[in-house]
Amino acid sequence: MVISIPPIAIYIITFFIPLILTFIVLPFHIRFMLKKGIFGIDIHKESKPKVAEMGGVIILLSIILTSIVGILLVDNNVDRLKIGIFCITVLIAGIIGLIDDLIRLSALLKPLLLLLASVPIIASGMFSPEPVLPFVGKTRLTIVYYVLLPFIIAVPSNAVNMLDVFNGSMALATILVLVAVFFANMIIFRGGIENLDLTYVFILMMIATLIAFWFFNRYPAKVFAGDTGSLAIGASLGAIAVLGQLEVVVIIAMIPFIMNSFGIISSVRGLMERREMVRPTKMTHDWKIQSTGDSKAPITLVGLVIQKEPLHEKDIVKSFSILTFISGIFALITAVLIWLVI
Amino acid sequence: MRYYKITNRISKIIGLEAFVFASFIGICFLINALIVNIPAVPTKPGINFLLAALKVGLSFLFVGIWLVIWYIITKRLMKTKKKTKSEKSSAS
Repeated sequence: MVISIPPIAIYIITFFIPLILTFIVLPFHIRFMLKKGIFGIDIHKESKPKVAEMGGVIILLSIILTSIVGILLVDNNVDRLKIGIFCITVLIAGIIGLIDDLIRLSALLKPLLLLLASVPIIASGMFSPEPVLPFVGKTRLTIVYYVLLPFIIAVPSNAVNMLDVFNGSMALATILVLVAVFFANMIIFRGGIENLDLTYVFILMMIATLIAFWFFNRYPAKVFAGDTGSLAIGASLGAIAVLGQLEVVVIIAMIPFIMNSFGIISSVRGLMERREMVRPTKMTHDWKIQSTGDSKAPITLVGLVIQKEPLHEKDIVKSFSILTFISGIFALITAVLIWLVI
Repeated sequence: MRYYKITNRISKIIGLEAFVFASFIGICFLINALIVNIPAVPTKPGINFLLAALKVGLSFLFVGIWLVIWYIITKRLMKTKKKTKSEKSSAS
């Protein structure tokens, strides 16, 4: 006899498992990394503290374990496969990030490898090539969608990675994006109470993991996510967009991330590693962050935020969260417009 | 610094964000008003294919124009800052 677990119970379980797991395991990870000498120096602080690296490994671990629990809880093979696809997509992006953390990939190779993260989704066919646009309704992009799909995973991955520059900035901004996408899914598709909607499972899993991670990554950070974490989190946003048919909503909710990446890529005219670029910021004597004013420096969101006068790291992170909160509201407006045409 | 003070400071970036969103919605409206209404000709598959390609092409053209305007505005926002700096240095 198969026991069917109510969707609400699955949502609660897939929220609390990663939350508790990440809270418990991250302190051990921090101690281990510092002991092994795997740490980065936080250059935005006067004391230049050592901060444990590769916290993204715990994020990945949390997602994998929660996905396994999810697979055991759901009662049909389609849902099991969908959870597996989500997990493998995030895992591929995380492994690429891990390789980058360990041996440094070139600026071109990293995004190219990230295109591979979409292979499980394409192979499974678990997507609808009919994204819904406001006013237009369902579009039939049969061939074009196959071409765009790898980018729907790779672009958010790189965008999240590019915004992971200050203590807690990436985690907080991504939590806000996910909360907006959660409510947008509620507006567009309704349901999810009587029948299980896996989009909620994925979003709740990511929010819980990120809340626990943010607790250790917020100012003053005790752990950095590294590329392992930021690429995996970005890929999860892309996977949620594709598997949940929320492509447009995710793009709108991620406007600050896209503004940042678009500014960098368009100003340096191509792909370039962070360490190869001219630094756009420098520290003032009172440890605020100010623009270098170098015309060769890339246009970044930070550069735009600190253009009036130098700002403290905490205030820059607050600026990012304000911008993401506003884009979240825009995402909800988009969700209402989409709901009107479906 | 309090949130409302920061919001005031980044008002121009919020404006840019609003522009990006509003123009995206505008493009969707234009696609619906102009491109979706191009009729399909089911009896002539060749022409139908060309029309479909035209629809996709025009949509990408709109997106391209949108990205160029976005880039120009971002550049201008950065230039304003450099102007202010040079003005300050010449004044001192």
